[in-house]
Amino acid sequence: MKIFYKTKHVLVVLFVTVLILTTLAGTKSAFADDSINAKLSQTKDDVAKLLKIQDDMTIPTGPKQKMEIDLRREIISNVIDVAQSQLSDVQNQLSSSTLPKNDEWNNVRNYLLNILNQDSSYYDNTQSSLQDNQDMTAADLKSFARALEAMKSNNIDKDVARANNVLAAVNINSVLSVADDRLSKVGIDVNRIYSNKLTQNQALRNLYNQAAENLKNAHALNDDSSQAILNLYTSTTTTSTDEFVATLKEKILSQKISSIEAQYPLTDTSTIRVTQDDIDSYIANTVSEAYNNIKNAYDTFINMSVNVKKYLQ
Amino acid sequence: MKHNQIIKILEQFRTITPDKAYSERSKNIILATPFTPTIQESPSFAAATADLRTISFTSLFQNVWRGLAVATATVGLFIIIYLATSQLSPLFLPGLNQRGVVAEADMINASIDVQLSHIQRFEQDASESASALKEVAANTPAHLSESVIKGEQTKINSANPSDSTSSTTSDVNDILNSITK
Repeated sequence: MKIFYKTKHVLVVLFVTVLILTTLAGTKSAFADDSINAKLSQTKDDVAKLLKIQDDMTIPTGPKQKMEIDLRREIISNVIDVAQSQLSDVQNQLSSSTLPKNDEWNNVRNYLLNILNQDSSYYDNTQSSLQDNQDMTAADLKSFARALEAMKSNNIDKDVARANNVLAAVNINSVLSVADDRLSKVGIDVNRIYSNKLTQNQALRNLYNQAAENLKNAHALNDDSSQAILNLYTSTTTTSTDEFVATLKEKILSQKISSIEAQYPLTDTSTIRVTQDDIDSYIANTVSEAYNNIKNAYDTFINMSVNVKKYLQ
Repeated sequence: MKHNQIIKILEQFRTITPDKAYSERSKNIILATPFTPTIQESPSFAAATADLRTISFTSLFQNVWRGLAVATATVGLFIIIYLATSQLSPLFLPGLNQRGVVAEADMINASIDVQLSHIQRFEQDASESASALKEVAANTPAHLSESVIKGEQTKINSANPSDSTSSTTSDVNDILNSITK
């Protein structure tokens, strides 16, 4: 009994600590967000200005070209700054986050930080290259922007999104501990109500079962996402890792085919492949689904707590 | 022994007297013993009163202390009885306490929202950056920019006199209708 209470207290303290850390990280992120917002807003204004200048027939060609080039440079430079801020924000969170302290999760952290460091170097080099080459023409800047956009959208943004998903997945554990504790407390109350025959109405029991089912699903989804992260976002591969990835890809392929067939009939499924994007989306959806199940469980707990007196009348 | 004989012996006890020398010695010992009454030896009446006051304050303090102890013990007993009865009461349902559950749900939702909104925010910002870069890299003719044309369209629509006239006419008709009702 003593150990039970001790464990409960440890869980509550752990959750509050995680919440404080999340809030602090959120506060730090909020400052980063403010700077990102300001730069993005300025970038939007610059884009509008650029389009207006291009359309303006009253400005002589020479000054017009100079103004266009300056604006193009400024937009590209601001976009790099914004991207670099987003990247460093996620790097900081990953370094200070409460990832489980074991070799498997350390591998994940190191794997992601290594990739993000390379991405950060790319932005540094790109910014330097832009500043060092002041004689770039409008055509040069267009092709510069095209290359930057391709690298950012096809690679770096996906790396950042992957790291964000890992952080969100790790946070599920602490939230689930508190939710499990609530389920057990509510379970004691529900048993007390029915063992003392305080009501014949089965609504409370049904609601309890519904919340228990939500949390069971959340645990299963959390296990799925954790296993996928541990096996996919790591540089250390073993036979079991390869087997896990192969099975996961089959599962995702089957879901992908079902999803396409729901829109139009497929005659040949052999051409459909599982991409890295599909795998990342699978993890993101699993994490999001786990959170939704926890939220649903709490909606049910609130419903029970609000209506318990009504059921007992 | 007979009853009369016993009575006789007992009557003889009345005549017993101490030895004269013993009586004298005892008297001298008693008179030689020093007699020290506290109040009489006090230097003054004021000092004696002060002593009395000290004694009464001490006893008052002791009484108050004792009273407090009794009161605390009683309150403690009531609390224990209350807790024991509420814990044993079938209507004691701490797990379904509305305030507790709602506060905890708020905490959980806040934690979840911080994580999920961070992801959404990143996607939105990344998308805005990508469109800015696309505009910079675009090779569209200078006078066929979609956003410039759309901007002009909005301006024209808002400045269209027929639209504003019809809208004003409609407003006036609405007012007249409401008055005539």
